[in-house]
Amino acid sequence: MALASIMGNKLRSFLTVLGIIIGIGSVITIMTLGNSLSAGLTDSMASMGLNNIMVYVYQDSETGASASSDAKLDETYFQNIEKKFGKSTKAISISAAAGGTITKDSKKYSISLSGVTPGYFVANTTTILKGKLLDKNAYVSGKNKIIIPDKLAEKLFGKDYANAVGQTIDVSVNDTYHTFTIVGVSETESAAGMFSMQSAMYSCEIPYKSYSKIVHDDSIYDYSLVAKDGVDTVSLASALEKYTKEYIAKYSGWKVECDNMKELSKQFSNQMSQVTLVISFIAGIALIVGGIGVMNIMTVSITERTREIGTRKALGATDGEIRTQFITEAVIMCLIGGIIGVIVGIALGDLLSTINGFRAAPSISSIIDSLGFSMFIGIFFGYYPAKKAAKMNPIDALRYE
Amino acid sequence: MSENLIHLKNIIKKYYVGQENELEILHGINLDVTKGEFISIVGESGSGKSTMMNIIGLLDKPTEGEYLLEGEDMMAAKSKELSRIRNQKIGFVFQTYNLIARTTALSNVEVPLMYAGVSGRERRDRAKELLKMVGMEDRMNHTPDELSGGQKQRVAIARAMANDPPIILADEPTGALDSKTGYLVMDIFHKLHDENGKTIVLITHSNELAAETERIVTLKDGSIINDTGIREGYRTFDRVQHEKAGDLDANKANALIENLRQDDMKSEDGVLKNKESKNSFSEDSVTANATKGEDDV
Repeated sequence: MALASIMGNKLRSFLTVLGIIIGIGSVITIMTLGNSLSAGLTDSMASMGLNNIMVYVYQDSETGASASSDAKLDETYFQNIEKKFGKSTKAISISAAAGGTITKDSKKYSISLSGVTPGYFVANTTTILKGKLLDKNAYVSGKNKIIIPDKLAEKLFGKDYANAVGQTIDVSVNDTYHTFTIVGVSETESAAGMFSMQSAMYSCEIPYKSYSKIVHDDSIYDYSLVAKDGVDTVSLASALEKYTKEYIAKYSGWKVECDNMKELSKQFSNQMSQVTLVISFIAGIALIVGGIGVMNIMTVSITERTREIGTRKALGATDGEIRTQFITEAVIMCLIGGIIGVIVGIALGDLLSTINGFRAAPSISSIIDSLGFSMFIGIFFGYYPAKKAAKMNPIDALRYE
Repeated sequence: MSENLIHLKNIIKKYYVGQENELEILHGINLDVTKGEFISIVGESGSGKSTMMNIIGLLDKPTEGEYLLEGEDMMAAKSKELSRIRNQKIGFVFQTYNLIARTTALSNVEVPLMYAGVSGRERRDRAKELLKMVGMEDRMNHTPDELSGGQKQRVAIARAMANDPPIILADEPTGALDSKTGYLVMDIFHKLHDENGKTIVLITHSNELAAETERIVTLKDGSIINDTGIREGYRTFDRVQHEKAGDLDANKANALIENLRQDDMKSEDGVLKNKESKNSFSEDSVTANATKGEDDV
């Protein structure tokens, strides 16, 4: 019966529930997109290693001018770290990067040259397609060996780069040429999600020792510590931070920061849920506006149907039955709007999340919540007009023109 | 037959009570209607007949007085109880039909059954049966805007009969119909009265219609000025016979009825001469009429 009166005025009913459709649709879209972004982020973070703790020492910008000499992290520091945290440490990765160019057939390729320690390949998942990783000897003696990414190998040695391993290439760093022997070709990490904007530079790895020789600098300001599985990285990070602080206390004006992916991803998902909350709030406003629209149309509809109400009362409907009838109509109208909104939201969310690179579905609970909320709007905004209808005097209602 | 159905005693209806513009519409009405009567309440507009109908139909409460319906006190009943009593005991037929728009004839007839709490299937069967009774079974799935006035009124009568109420309260049921269709509707009321033993209260301004009924109560300025009581042989003119013979002409018929009515006024005891036409109303004639009704859509 309620459905019949809604279907009797399709266009008007549709326009009325448009606010609900937009509100619910945007909530579901945002939720889906949020899920997609989180999934992308988690994936990106996992590829960087959730067990990694990054330690930085840096000059405090405020007291920078008066800072004493460089607070380098030296060999003693790393020995101490090994002693103190060795049990929970899987590897320590020290890396530093500098820009360089490779010239081949008069074409220049910009590369990022990273000096790395063996721990680097533990901290960063690297897939070697041809050849192998840098060997121990290379690290210890600082041999000019290099690992290049497959994309660069294709450019330099053709599609199959079959003969790449063992070849030598000249890399120009600060206008000085250095010859490297290629030991391996690594798979270029598929940049995904929000990190896809990172520079398209080819990133090559060389032993840290040869790197420091080339750039004439062996200062270490940061490193990554890979914790063993099952270690509480958050407390390990704070212990590391505490120890490093003590270690550099003698240098005034220097600060320490320890980040770990777990904490970062936690922070990020916190921010994500805050964004979701804000957008849901805005969508909530759209829903309230939609609800007011429903209330408005219900009021108009009740005025139009005054005679019907009078007739129903004459035929034996109680005030409660009239009220229930109109609340039901409002609820069904809102629920239809909610269902259309959910469908629109899923479709739009799916489209946007596909563009983002991580397909995601909205959670079932968000769909149920949305439908529940639209029902609530129906009851809330349908109540007043329905009460008005129920209170109508049957005589006046029957005579209404 | 002598069971007292409606008992109105000293009914007074005032509007704007206690205000400067206080208005008394009914000045102490006394009326008793026994079960099975076909009574008409006649009066010009402003005579208070609509207020009477609202009070009898439990849509409005008298300011003062006593109203017993089947012996139950209606003055003390609460709104919810009144709704139930309206649903069970009174079948309304309105001048403007008041069918629910965009709702099929069948669903319209189901409405009072729904409020009575009758289950869906039973409701449907009963509604079909009622529509068949008024000759509307072919159009039960039509919405009111697809029906002619006479058809709408027949659906409305079926709806009024839904819960088999003891009283049918008809407010100018033929007022919006042409005379031929109006007779058809009146015939249904006669049938309900003669065959189903319904008590019918007809509210009208037309003396012509009132003349067809068993008892005529005339209202003027809020008081009953005349009550014929039960008249013997009240069926003054058998249109059905004329129609069957094929000589029904609305104007002629009207003229005839008018003549008869005037005769009726002249006769002192209110008993009419042509008794032979009484009870000639039969099942056959109704069916014949119903079929004719379809033709004038």
